[in-house]
Amino acid sequence: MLARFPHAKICMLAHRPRLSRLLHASRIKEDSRWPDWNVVIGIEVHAQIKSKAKLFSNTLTSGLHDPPNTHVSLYDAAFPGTLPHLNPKCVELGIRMAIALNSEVQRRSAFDRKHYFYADLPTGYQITQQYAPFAKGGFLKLSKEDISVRIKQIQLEQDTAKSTFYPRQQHTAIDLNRAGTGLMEIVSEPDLRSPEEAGDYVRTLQSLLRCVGSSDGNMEQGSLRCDVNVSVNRRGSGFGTRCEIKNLNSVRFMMIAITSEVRRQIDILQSGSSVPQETRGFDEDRAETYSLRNKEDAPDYRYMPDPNLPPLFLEEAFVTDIRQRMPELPDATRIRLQSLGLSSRDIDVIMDVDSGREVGVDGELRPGAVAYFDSVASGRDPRVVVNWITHELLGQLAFRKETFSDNPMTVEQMGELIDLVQSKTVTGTSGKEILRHILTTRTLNMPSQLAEELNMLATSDDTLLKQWCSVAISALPNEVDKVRKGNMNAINRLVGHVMKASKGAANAQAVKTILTEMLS
Amino acid sequence: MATAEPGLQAGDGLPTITRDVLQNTAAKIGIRVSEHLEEEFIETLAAARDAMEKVLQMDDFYPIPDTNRYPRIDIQAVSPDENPMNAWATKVTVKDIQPDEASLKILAGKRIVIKDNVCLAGVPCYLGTDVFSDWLPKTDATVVTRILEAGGTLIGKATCESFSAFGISNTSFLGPIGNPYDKTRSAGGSSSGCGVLIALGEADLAIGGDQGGSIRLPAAHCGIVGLKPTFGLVPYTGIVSNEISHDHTGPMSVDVLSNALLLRAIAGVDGIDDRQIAGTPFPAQVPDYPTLLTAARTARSLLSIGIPSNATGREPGSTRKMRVGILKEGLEIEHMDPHVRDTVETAARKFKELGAEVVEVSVPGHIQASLIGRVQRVSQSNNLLGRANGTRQLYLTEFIEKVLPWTQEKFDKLFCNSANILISGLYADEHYPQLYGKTQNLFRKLRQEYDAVLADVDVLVMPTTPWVAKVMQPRNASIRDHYKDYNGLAESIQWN
Repeated sequence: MLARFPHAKICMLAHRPRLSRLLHASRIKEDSRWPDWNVVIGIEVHAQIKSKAKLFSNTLTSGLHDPPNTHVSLYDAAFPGTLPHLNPKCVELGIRMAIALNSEVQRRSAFDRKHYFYADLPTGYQITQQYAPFAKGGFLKLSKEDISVRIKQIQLEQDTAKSTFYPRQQHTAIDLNRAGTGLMEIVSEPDLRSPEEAGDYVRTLQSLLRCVGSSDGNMEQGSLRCDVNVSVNRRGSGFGTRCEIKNLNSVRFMMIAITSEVRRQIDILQSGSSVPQETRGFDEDRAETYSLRNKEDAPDYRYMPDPNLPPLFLEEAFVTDIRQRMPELPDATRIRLQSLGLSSRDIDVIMDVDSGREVGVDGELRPGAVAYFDSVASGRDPRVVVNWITHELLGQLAFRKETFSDNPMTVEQMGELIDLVQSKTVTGTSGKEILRHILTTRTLNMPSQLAEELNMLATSDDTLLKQWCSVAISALPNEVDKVRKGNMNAINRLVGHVMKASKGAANAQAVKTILTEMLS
Repeated sequence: MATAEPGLQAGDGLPTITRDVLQNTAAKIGIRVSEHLEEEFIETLAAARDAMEKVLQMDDFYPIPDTNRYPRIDIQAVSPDENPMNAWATKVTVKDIQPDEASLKILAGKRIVIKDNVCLAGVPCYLGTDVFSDWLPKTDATVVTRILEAGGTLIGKATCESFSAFGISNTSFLGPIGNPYDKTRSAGGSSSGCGVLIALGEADLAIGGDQGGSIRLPAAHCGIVGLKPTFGLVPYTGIVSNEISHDHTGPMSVDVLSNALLLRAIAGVDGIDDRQIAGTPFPAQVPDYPTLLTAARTARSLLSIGIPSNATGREPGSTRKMRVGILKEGLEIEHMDPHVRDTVETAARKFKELGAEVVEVSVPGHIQASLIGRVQRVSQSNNLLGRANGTRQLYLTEFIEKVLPWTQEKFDKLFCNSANILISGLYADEHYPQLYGKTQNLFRKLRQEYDAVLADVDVLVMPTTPWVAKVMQPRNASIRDHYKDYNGLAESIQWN
């Protein structure tokens, strides 16, 4: 696994300096868990690029459940004489993320070989862009707190194969399916100050990756992996020595690992020792980090320019073209939905569902909850539409333990249903019934037709209503008595009786009026 | 202001506007104002003069340098002992008084000298001449401000040739500037001091100026890297002008990477200088030149060119070899030393070994470029005459006031090349006033010829000088002897 071998961090050339560097470095976060201490965190995120083919071969990328070693070309298996060919789709998906992170796409970048020996790395080296990344600079605004985290660089690199250890047989199996899949490594500056900010950072990054269609960003499934650099220092003194934590496979574990690492480092410093720079793993059961090895330096990796790959030139026109076809970014979506008069709660719900949508390969954008809302709300009251989607549709899907991607109800069906209820052609109660009917039967019939078939058209036929009211009055003498004595609440049971008899087609307000007249 | 009497009161010192003043002015173009109009003309001329005087008495407006944050420390003339090559004009230290902040910036720790035609407020500017000697500029050139804001340390001003107007380093009143490899030979000019101080390692970087080769000639003679940037890329604000379509300022350094670094710090429009023509980037849009270089990683990669994606569908990543064009006529100019020609050609062919394609290309008009260029220089002398040129820029009026009016004494102190340009400019004014415009038109034609060749090659290569550095003539040698070593030194103003 890639995470086992860290990326040495070397400063080649000083970046164009910014005042913000001083401002960021001096940001102090009060934390009651460790008063008088500053915590400094930087994160390297490796996001698997959701491309159809691998980074340097035309082998299709694999899914989690594909049989082992079925997505392997001679190149992926490092046969002599094979040569890499850059997949332009990986570049495009990388650029999308660079644009979303306000990063500057470099006109010229290049690929290096980073050598290390491991069974899941057939070539003996990983092709990466450590020294000449395709994008530099940028920032990510966290979603929960008003903090902007600076991005140092984004680079393209290869994923490794996967090795699985079988303790009983005492052997390790290698699956080359993942070997050579494209990764983008997003390196942050050390701008984070607490485990919670780190969690927020990764979650915000995940939803951005999904939004632009660059990656699934799924930590549990391994399509997003984090290496976290943590250091602590006493207030007023400079940055401490950092340790890098590897192999974190959920945001929750990452936050626990950081917390435990912070405590460990503080203990060391308080005992008068100093923190050695090292790479550490995380034991999920014991919720603590453990030493893996001392930190490697760049010479250990014998970096060299890859002689088989030409430099990567990205002209402005190419980047502009991608910029113009970018999907709407979450910040912009939120502002747009706010301007439609939607409540923050509704926006949270709908955007949360949206960010969980499946990401298509090669950046194909699949419509999610926001797009569904936009289509239905076109020409309709957005607040009514969002109510139907968040309360009725999502509520019913959740009840059925289904997700939005399972939603069988078309935009046209939902639109017409809302129109029928708004025009009082069917009652709200009937409307909800029709919605449930569509989810259950997965019918493609339109709601107007269903209302007719199911006898749910709201009836304003007085004769029929009066008839149902008379039945109700004779069926519930006790309630009639109470109403006559002045307890008007009791009338609701009579109304309910009528509604049941009418299968929801009766207009409850009209029924109430008739009953009141009949009983007075 | 009108009175019944012809002849009105003058302002300060100048004679009253009379019939004679009026008619003498008109006589300059051989005409006469009719008698019945004289009175009216005297009145309007007097009114115009009055308005001129009023503006003249207003405070001039210059950018105000931040001398609190960037104080001028230890301004000193350099003793001959410390100045064996005469390359220093003045020593001074100017840097940010907030070292922590400066240390984070791209020019942190760099010792930088500037050519002595660049304004550094409060520090003498000699311009290689003793025609005047007491000019303390009151503003900083934009390049100075940008260097200081990028964390650089200015350590002084480097001697330049008299009025930055000669390509051999024997014209400064401070004495001849010796070539670091042989003190008797030319270091090249006019940014001669810059070339020498970089070659000797006394400075890390230098700001030179180039009108007809003044950065490239000293770079070639001293064995360093000198860049004449694209016209307008670096603002010329606050630097003494030679001719507005020739004015360039640019970086000089020991290597290409640090040259790129200084260029990055100084390039981009400053909102003052009209020479920064349309298409010049704003400072924030200036490419990160050093990173573009280091991103190449290998020589072969540096010699690759990206094929525009619109030529290959929408796929990035296609490259081709860089095509280096050796300009045939560049090797054939008059007086070309065959050793120089062979060395340059061999060096250019080296690019083939490194992964580029090398081809020979031809621009027949190139042979005439230096003739047209020389005529463009001698067919006007606006800078020496203190004439404005109709562009918006920071006019160094304080400099003009030092130079003007010309007196016999000043003229006698002028180096013979500048004196010659002054005279020929006056002559052309009288006899060929349209000639300067024609040279610009002819250069436009020539540029089209170069552009046609550049459609097929990525770079053009040719020698900077036709010969190696020559032993210098004494400053008081005859003009004919001076020109023997000067005419033929390559110019490149056709590309401006």
